[in-house]
Amino acid sequence: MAYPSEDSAQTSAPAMPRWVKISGSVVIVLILLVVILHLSGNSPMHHGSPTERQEQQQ
Amino acid sequence: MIMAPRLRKIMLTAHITTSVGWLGAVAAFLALALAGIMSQDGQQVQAAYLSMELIASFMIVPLCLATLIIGIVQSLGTPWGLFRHYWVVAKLFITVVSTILLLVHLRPIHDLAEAAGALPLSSADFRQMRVQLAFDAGAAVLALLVTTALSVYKPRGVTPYGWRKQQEQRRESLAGETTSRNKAEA
Repeated sequence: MAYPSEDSAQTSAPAMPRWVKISGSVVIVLILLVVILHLSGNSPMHHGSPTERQEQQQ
Repeated sequence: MIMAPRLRKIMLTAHITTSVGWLGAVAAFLALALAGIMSQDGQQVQAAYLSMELIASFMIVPLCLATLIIGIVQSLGTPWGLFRHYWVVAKLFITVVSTILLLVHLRPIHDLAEAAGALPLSSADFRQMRVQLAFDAGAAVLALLVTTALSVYKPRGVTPYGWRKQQEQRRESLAGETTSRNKAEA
């Protein structure tokens, strides 16, 4: 396993890499989408539960 | 505390086994979820949902938890650390979120298996839940492929915490070298 080499020449903390910024932005957008879907009542886990099916059949 | 090389290899083997096993189990779950949606054979649909619950309970959950725990232990016992490099933090985030979502999904998986076991399911019964389970399994496969790629490529990027730790270690090693040099000259 290749272990990390030190960035010892730098005198200040390195900037956040671009791949972290892009993937982090994508994750935030996805989380917001899921939250919005749930809050708007479009979560499929609330629909078609076995108890609902039994009520429909009665 | 850094682990000895032999223990490190054992932990790495265990981590790879559990994480790739988790990926395989989720892929099998996805195949069954798709069969449950697309099949017109009532017995096959019933078998699919009953099997999904078994795979989830006896393979996916244990492998998921083992991957998370072994991964954390392994990170803390190697120079990579748990919060020093962005690729490790990303893997930890994906694994924790996937674990939480998996545990949340256990109830609907159980409910569907119970429903399928009690009565034959038509293609319209619990349609949205069945499609959602297949979609979520597909998303889980993608997430686990991302963690696998991160493990292999280890993209560069040190967190501020990791950088501070590197600086501390560098100062300590320089201080040690200075002390040794002074002793040799004396």
